[in-house]
Amino acid sequence: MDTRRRLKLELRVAAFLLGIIALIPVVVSNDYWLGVLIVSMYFAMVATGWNILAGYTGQFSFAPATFGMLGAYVTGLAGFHFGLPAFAGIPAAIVVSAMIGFLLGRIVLRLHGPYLALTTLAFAEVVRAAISNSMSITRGDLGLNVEAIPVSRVGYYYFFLGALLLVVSMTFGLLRSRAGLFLQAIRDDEIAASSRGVNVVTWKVVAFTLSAAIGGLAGALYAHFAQLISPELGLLSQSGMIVSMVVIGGMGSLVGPLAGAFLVYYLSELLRDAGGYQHIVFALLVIIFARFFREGLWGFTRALTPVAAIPSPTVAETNSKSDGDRSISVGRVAPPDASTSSPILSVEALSKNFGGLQAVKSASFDVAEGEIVGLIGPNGSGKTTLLNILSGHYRADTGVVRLDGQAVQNARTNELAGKGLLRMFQLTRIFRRMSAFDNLMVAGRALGLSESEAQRRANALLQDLGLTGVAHLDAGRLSGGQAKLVEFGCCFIVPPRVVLLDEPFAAIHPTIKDVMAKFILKRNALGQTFVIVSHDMPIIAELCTTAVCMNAGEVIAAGKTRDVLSNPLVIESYLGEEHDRATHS
Amino acid sequence: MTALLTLDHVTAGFVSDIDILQDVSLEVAEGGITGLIGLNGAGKSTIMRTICGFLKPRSGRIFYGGDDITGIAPHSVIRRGIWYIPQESSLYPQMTVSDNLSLPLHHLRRSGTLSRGEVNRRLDEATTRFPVLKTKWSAHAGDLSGGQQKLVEFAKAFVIRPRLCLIDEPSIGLSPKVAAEIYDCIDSFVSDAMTVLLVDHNVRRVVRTAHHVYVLSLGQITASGSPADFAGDLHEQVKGWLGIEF
Amino acid sequence: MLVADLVINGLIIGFLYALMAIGLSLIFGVLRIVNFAHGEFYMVGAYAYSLITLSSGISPWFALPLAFLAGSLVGLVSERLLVRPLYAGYANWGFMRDEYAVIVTFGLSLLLISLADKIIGPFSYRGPTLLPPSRIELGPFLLNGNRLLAAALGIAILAIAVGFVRYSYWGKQIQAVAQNRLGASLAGANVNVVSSLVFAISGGLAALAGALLAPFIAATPDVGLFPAVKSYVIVVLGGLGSIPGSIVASLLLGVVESLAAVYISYDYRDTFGLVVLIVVLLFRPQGLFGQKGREV
Repeated sequence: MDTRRRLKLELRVAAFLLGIIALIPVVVSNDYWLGVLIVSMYFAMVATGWNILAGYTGQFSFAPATFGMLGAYVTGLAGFHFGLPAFAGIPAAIVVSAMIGFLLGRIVLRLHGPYLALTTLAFAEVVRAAISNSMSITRGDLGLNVEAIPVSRVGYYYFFLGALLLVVSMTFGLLRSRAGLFLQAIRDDEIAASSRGVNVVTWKVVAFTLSAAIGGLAGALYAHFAQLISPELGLLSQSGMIVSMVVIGGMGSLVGPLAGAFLVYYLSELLRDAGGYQHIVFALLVIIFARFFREGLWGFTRALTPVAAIPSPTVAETNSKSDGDRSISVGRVAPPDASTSSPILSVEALSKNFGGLQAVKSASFDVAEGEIVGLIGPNGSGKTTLLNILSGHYRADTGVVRLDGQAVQNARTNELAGKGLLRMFQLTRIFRRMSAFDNLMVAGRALGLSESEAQRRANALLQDLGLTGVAHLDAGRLSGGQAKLVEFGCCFIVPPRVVLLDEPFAAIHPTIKDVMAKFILKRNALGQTFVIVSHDMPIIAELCTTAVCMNAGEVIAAGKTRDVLSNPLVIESYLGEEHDRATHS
Repeated sequence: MTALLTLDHVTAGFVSDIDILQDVSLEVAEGGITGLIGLNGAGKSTIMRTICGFLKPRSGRIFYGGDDITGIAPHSVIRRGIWYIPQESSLYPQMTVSDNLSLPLHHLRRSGTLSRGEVNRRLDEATTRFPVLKTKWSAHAGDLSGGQQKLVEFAKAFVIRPRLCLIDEPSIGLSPKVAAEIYDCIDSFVSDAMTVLLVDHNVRRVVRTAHHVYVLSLGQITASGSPADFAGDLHEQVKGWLGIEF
Repeated sequence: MLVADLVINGLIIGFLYALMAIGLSLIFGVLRIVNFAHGEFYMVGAYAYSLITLSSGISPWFALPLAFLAGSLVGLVSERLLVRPLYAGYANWGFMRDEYAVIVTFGLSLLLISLADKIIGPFSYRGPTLLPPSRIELGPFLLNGNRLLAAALGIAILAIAVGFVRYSYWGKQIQAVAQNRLGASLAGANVNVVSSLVFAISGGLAALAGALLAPFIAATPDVGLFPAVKSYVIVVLGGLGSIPGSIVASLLLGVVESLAAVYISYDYRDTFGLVVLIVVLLFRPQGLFGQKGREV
């Protein structure tokens, strides 16, 4: 299901849940249980913040409780040392937590998976130890007294609820905007996200900062409620409990952290009375859910919504509307430099060495606008490395790449996408947990289209590629060929300057190959430039006007395809005797 | 010639609702090369993985030397005399070439199939047969060039002397010179009475060396025959079987 | 000579860190997951050593191998029940690039800690030292005899473990599975057996570290958290999956902490490891010896 539709449903459920919470004080006047709910709301806020980072952006940080602790201590210390009241301490807590979250985000930027988790875990422990050991400043393990806010327990209750409502609505707003698309894209495939134009660095840091800020807010509120805080707030087991709340509730959903927080904390209080088995029970729950129910409790509700069977690609469907492009006006995108004689893409003396292996050796060639260039050569010839340099995934050691005359060899992938250089990967890269429609929306929004324009073009492309039947299913459920078409379509949502295709025809159904080939020819007739890497000689001969052949890192032939394919050097190094005989028989 | 390996109506796939192989039946006769051609994505590598047990068929059986080996554990195929040279590397990059060759032999020795003397003898023969081993004996396998690595993979098959060797796209990405060496190697395997199931995109070569050829298209066997059946207008025939312009 | 003294002490503790950390590296190399319950293997060893020596009359020298066995057993059972089902056997050749492996082992960690707390109780148990207290003169240095002994044993066990992995048949099979799962299976290695073996070794080594340090750091339910965090810093610093990397990083950490605790600040002595980690990661995201993945 599309992100937006899912979110709307989740918001309704969340509102319902919070509505019930709002009404509880009317029925329950027991201070103890109101207190339990207040603490649950603390956890609900921290969990929601952490879910933005881990559930939506895929950055599995072990430090959620740390930011709660930091927020609590900022407001506590502000009051203790400087006499600042709550209304100053709480904003200060948010700001300081956000700053530290920002820093943490920047530090762990290039880390993934276990490296990220471990570094954040170390960060969590060290911050806690630092606070614990700074007796003179924080009173360490003795705890710090924090001033109360002058309200009754019920007053606190609604204060917390108000903050929780704020956090949830803000999160909803964020996820509904293009940020929601980008964060999930980063979670599903960072490299693909960057290739579509998403500034991964910025959004990851945003996720970290926001998550930290929310944690800080929650912690500050908690401090004024509990009136005594200690480094135990930031214990790993606390972070663990928050993680289990989100896992059990449902990662990557709006409702999950809320439901999980209330349920887990309430249960934990019940079990505490019943003999202190709460930790064992939760550990078991976490293990069971992680093992069997990856989508948490919210996942059960997903199972209830009927999912249409995926229609298999019929020849009719994939062939159907590939000849009508009426819906998108694909005019020539006028290049900034109006002279048509200079090449749209030029490669000048590019070299790349990988620890002793010279993958690319002073390669040079030009691509004129409107050409379809075939880049061929044996495995290990350097053509994939060259393509990766062109698309910004590798940095060349020497040489220049010019796009429309502008030197771009140091530009980042997402910047290149913004300039109109799009690429497809050999092993299809799409966002599997998002629908095909959303995949296209990511590309559209990342390249600057408005919401409505992006939707219009996405729908048109889906129609052109024959994917309307599967447009709103999770992309991970599509067949290999359909997925390839989705990735292919993403290159065209904004008319690109050059499209780089890496082995686009490998391992796909002939009818899908046909759709792509027809699409390429159609766009090329309107002036679209392509560079295609392929081993498929017939397709190269059919589609490409010019060819460039590489061997052992060097360009050994470039020119009209027919000439290149009959060049003796090319035949000797790549095609082999048989091909020579075959083409001449 | 008797069938050494038989696939009997095998249907298999990795993901629950997608069958890569659909009702595949084929026979590999003992001795000589049986060829398997088809487009990328047709399922050729999947057949090999299914034979080795990496993928359990949803239906159908696989017979080898008279035994039913459907769903066998992959680590036990070596003892039955089956060896698979995959398209991707099966070498240990941070171990020496000598360790790469001797580890499987030591495994066979421990399971009682080989004596220590035999192990050493085979390793010596390998260095003679594959000169690249002499110079690179103590080098890390990952430091060798692509062509050299492929030769080491064939050297591994040479020392293991399987009864059935599954070879998946041996020449992809290799320069013609190295590719020629590899094909010589395959020919010599055959003269040493090894049975080979060969997957290759180079249709002409397969037709030239195999005694029987199967065409796999979209998970199904669409044609099978001897090289004579493929003679004549190769283009037209294969085009018809593969369904495309090749 | 204070510096040299501190460096030696740092190296001593570094070797013990290494004993703790290489198991983690091994698991990552073979299974591509981080075992977040690693600290709990340490705890099992600490408890096994302390409880066995305190409750029965068994000599502490016998308690050491028993602690190793206890850790191995816990590791084995964990792998079999929890970890193995997570990767779908041979058909799924993509490893567990899966945050759920993280969550499951994290859950295991919580479970083991809470079980220890419930069954054994929150009190600490300090097993006896191997020898009566002594001070040993090593040239110009005066060292605590038992600490030195613990370190020496640690080094010896470390050497045996590394030797096993590098030179023995099973050690090579472990390396083989870590480097090429497909190739190793074809060559006869049962990947499941190797995974179990790796967890057993990892559990045993961590337990041994816990047992060796039990006379100095008493056993409590959460005693494993600290060594675990240190191990995590070490394996990331050294590069996940690299044994030499883990050893170098362990020694580095030991020495840095030892020097910094005296020359910079005792209170914040545990933060220096993180600072070093962050600095290194800024320049080498794959750690000191890690493999830089060619992602595209």
